[in-house]
Amino acid sequence: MTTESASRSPYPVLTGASREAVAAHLVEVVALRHPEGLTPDQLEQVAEAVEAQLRATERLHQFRLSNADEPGFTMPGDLGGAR
Amino acid sequence: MSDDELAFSSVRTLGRLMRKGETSPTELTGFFLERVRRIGEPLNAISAVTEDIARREARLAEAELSSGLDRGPLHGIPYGLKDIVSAVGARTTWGAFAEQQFAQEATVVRRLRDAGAVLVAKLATIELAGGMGYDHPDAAITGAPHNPWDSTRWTSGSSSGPAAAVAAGIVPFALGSDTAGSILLPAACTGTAGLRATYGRVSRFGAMTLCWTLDRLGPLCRCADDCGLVLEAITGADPHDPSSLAVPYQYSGRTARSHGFRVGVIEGACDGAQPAVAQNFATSVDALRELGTVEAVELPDLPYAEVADVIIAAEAYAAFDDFIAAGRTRELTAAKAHGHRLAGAVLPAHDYIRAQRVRRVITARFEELASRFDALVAPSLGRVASPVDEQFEYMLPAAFGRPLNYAGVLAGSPTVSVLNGLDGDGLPTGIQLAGGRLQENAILDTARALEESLGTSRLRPDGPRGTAGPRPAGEPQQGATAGGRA
Repeated sequence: MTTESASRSPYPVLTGASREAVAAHLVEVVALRHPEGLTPDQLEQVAEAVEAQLRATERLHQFRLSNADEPGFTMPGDLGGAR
Repeated sequence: MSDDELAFSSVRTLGRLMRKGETSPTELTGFFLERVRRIGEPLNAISAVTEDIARREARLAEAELSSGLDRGPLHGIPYGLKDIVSAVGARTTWGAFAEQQFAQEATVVRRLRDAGAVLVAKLATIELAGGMGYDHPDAAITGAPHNPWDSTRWTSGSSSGPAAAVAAGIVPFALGSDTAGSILLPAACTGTAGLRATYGRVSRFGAMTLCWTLDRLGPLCRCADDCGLVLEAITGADPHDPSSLAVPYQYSGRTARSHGFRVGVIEGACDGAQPAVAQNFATSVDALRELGTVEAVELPDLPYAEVADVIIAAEAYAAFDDFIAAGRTRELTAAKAHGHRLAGAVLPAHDYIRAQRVRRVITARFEELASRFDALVAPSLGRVASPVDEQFEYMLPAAFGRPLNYAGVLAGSPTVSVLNGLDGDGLPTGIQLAGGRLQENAILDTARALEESLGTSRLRPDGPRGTAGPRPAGEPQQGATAGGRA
């Protein structure tokens, strides 16, 4: 495949103990948001999903973007008669 | 014409038979309703049989045709609806809620009724269209869907019921949905034609939302030509769906191209694919070479999977936020669904927006590539249908056709998957043809020509009488059936 991403993104990369702490705290936050309690299986699934999310977002952080790069959705310019 | 031939006839053929007086809407409806119960239910392809609706619509279609009112190619043709699309008078379970019903019908249902089509069944779906996560085929209140080519295999998902129903000749066509492959992958596993049209072509109103910016409704049919006919009936702007396009779409009434196609073959698309998939793909490329020009192309190295995963994580959580926050994912059949999506609660908003920004880059680069060709091709899936009683996620690394699938998902561009042969066990393989935005006719014409060249329209699953055995990989079987095991 052709390598598309050009120069390295300035987005800082979390590694080691910091990254592990972030992952652990994110799982803890999810658990706290479920006062009914999560089963061990659910906690394991959450931990896997958090790890997958971290990996995916880290890859996207490394994809260089400029301030001018717009998202795939925007507010419609025509609001139907709004002034 | 035998019952078998009738069951596996295309929409176009059935329409011709009706207009010649060799069958009628009520006859066809009764015929397919019987197959829905006898064949569809044991396959776990059926969520509900809509007999009352079907007989009423069939009588109306028959009266209209008799009086000279002809609504077009779908008039009097029975169809099935993935059970995430609402129809008045029938439950819409989303594969999870047995008694759920809606008072308002989906726009696509209204359009199909306006076209004279006849709703015979709500078809099985993976629960919540697979959106909460699943890794086993039995993730639905209807049970694991069996593949008509071999009932020990499954159909893939989430449009499992539509794919099984069309493959088994239970309905001439069906409507499914696709967020990240849920039309294309079941089409590939069941040897049907599945079309994911340009995002916005088909109104999503009345269908369960999984991801607002990715979801698409589309046809599963016996062939690419039928996909065009169905799409024509269901497209159009809809004030109820702000993402719907006002761009008109015409399929019938034009001369389809039969040669001179410019095809781009994605390099590396067969890496890791099962040998039969690779062999059938190579045979397809040879056929395409006879139909025009073929060029190897590289898909840009972009983070397709990561963008899709982040968008789905955020939007799927948002679409079901109160359900998830209330701890109700434990009600779902799939064990993986109990915890998988909960992590969406801690996905930062700026990361979702970043994913959408990278998506725009992907869209532009994909369109730039796709605009040079009538179709970009790759295997639809790197493997044939997996066993129905096994966890399937670990099989996915073999599916190296996914980069093109994800590119099309994110770019919102059209892709069709069609049958391109069988493996040594008689299981179907699929080829996907992806095009530039709004270029459905280019990919459908290319697919039609390929189907004709390969002779795949004559392949079908075994009937109860038994047939000739399977052919070696890469050799389309000529004749009535394909020798799949019951």
